[in-house]
Amino acid sequence: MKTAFSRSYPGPGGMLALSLVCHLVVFLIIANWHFLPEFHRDENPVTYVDMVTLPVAAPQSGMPQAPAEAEPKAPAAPAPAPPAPAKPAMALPTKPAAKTPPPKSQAKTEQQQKEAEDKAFNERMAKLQQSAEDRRQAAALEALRKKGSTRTGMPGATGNQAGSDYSSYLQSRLRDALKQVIATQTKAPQVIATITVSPDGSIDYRVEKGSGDPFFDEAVQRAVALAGKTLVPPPNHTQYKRVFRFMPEGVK
Amino acid sequence: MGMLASTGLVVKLVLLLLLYFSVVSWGIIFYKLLQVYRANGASERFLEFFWKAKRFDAINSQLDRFEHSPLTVLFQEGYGELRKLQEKVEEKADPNIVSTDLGGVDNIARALRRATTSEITRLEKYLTFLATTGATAPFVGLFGTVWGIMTAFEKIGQSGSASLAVVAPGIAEALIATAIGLVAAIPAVMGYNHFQHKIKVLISEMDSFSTEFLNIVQRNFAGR
Repeated sequence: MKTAFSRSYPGPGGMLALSLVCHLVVFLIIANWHFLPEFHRDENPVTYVDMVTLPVAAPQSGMPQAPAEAEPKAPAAPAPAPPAPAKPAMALPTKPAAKTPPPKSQAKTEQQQKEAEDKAFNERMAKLQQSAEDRRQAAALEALRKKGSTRTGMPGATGNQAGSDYSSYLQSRLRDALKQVIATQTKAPQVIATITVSPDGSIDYRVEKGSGDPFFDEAVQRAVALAGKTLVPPPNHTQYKRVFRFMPEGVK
Repeated sequence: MGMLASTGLVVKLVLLLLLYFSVVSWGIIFYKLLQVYRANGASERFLEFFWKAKRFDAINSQLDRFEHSPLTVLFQEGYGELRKLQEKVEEKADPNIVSTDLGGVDNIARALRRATTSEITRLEKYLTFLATTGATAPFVGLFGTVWGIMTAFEKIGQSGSASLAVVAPGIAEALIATAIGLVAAIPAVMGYNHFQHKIKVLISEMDSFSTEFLNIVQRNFAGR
């Protein structure tokens, strides 16, 4: 006897069409993701603040620099005139001057006076800018130096105070660097190496006893190189030399 | 979406293939969900009805109500075989109707086994595609990615610049293939495992129903 049921649910074809529709909907959602209203709802304008240059009162920051330069230079014909649209403005006042010869001498003296004034103003501006730039760079350097010293874990440390000697500074830098590049293959590898820091801040290292773990040996080498990139030279222009023990837990 | 437009021909073909995999496997998942859940529900209701009913012919007349259950097919096959045996015996006009030796119950058991096999085949139909999608889609996607990265490197070599701005977009485009491969494969694998489990439950239900049916036949019809 043959089975004679005709089951009445949609066949694979109908489900395939349903699947196709689902895929289409998902594709459209992904394609128009950026146009969805909730995507932009919480977006506030972001203001970026340069923390390094913030404490310095930069005089040029609030000054409309480009127009100030363009205005006095406009009548001066030999000026290099950096902005392109300034050129026709410069050409215009000279043309009528050439057509009317009688007030020429008067115009000349006025022009000379104006040029002298502009020159003095430009020099003053250049000086101000130069001093502002110097101050800004000095402040940035100071901030960077402070930043570097605080990385040793002792805020404002100079390397000369008690408890912040050069060994602990170097040790902390090596430990930080090792954490960044560590890779091990064996359980408890240990590398003993002599670290030499020359008076100019360049670092050199010699392995006294390897760990037998090529990954860890290479990690130590990379850690020393990494720490050497941003190292403050030893105090009093002396060479610094010490044996360090590198382990996955840290540097001793 | 601009990313898709700028990919190479091979990566585009791979993406199309993966899209086909995904569409078909989701179609199969929807189809099987409907099929398996209807089969489960109908089987439960059929078993309840089967144990309450006193007569096989009464059950046979009500089978349409449980059309989605595989057990109804088993019952129909077994009952059909039983009827044939009865007719044969009646033709011979022998009062000792169905013999338990070679002929009778063995015939019914064979009919039930055949029906079980055909129902298993029906339930497992298309599942192979899900397994294939789950196993191969990530590799197809990976192939697309490898090809895309190869092309990207070729372009980088021609441009002569190795900055991240040059390298990154090509690799990002290539990685779409792997992502879509995984998107196609993950539901397929999950669906395949789920349906395998559900079908296993249905198969064990069919086996126990066959045994019960044979018991009833042997108790009530054989050696009468």
